[in-house]
Amino acid sequence: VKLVRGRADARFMPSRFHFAIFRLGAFVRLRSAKPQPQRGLLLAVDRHQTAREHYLAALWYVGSAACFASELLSIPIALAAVVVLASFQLLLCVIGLARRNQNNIRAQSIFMMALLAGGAAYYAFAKTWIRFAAWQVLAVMALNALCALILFFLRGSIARAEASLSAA
Amino acid sequence: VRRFLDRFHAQGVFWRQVLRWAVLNVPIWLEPAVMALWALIFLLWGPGRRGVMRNLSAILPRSSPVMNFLRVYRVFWNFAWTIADNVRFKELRVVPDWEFEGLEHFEELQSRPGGAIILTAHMGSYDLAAQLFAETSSRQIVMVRAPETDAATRRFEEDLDARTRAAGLTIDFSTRANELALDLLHALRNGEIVAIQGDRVTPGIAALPATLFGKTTMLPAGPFALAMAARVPIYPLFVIRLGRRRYRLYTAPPLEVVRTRDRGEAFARAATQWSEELERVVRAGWQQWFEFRPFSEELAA
Repeated sequence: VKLVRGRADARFMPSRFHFAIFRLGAFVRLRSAKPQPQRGLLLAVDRHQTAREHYLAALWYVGSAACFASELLSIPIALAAVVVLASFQLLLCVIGLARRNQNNIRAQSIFMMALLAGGAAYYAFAKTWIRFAAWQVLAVMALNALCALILFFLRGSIARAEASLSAA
Repeated sequence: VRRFLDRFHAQGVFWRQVLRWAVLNVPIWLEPAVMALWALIFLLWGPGRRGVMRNLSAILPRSSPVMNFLRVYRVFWNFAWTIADNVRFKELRVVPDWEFEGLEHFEELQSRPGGAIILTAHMGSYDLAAQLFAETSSRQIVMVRAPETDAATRRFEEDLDARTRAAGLTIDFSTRANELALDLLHALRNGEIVAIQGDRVTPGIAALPATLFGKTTMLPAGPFALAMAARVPIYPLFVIRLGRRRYRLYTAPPLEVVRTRDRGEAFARAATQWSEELERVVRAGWQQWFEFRPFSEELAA
């Protein structure tokens, strides 16, 4: 387990973020942040560490999926959100029961994102309001891919910035 | 049939298996949504819900039952995150962020030459803190906990602990009171640290009367008797969940149980100091006090 001790500004380490959009945002913050020593602080370096990113991602995913479920089942969005939340558990069983006792988080992540992307592609050319929901999903995914590309070119600078924090 | 159905009881092994499965399968970025749903499902657990509501009526005396019902959701929400963090650490070695409050007392606890007792409560992820303490410190730690009541659950937990426990950590169970007391005394005299939960009395162990939130309650007598016999200090230590994967480890100044002619008076004084500290911490962190039964007979009535 990699830990950074006594540096509050290590919260902005890109390695503590999952999605490329947030990783790039964190790197920008990290470059402008001043050293913030804080005694008695221990920050874990794990790509799933940040709360805001994960709450936002969950909200975005459930909201978008609820829009598609609402259109598909012709039910109100609030009810569709409940249906989506319940159906997640069943969808996770597809891989989860086939690969028991294994860490399937990555495979499940790809599977769930692919389902959302598939739904967005299906509804992108619909005649109703749902096409807006579909296009925002595709736009967010495209933006994330663009950020991933930028991060690829910045990987040297990111590694140096993070190394200086870890060494401090 | 009955044995099969026992699996689905609140203490049954099925829920532990589901939790482990979820930790290995739920995409991390989808976790908040899954937690929100499961915290809602926990609300169907009647005895637990009623127990928390009764405790809240004492902790926050001017609160209304409707507000307390909503607060129960917050307790269950924290509980869901906490047990998931604990299993995630055991299975995937993922640690949360930590902030230390009372760091000087924590450092003193780690660096003092003799043994010491950590007295904690069912708050935050005490299991996770003990594991982390054992992994980051050179000290041996013995964690005392109440055993699972369900045999299958006990086997499941023992298997998980055996696979994942940190080298410096020993887990012992509070049911075998007499033999355990001697083992713990021996551990303390060897300079080890003993961690005990001091907010709940397991049937069959000695208890001391105390007052918590204006209600009479019983607190375990063992930690105080051990501290007196081994002449070691007691460090009240609380693990407080601050948010997603963020915990605060609060260490209070140590309590000394001084050996005097009147043992009863010395125990009563120590129990009062502990109950005051516990009350202060629980009042601020009621949303993560995982006491699912009324802590006082007065509340249970």
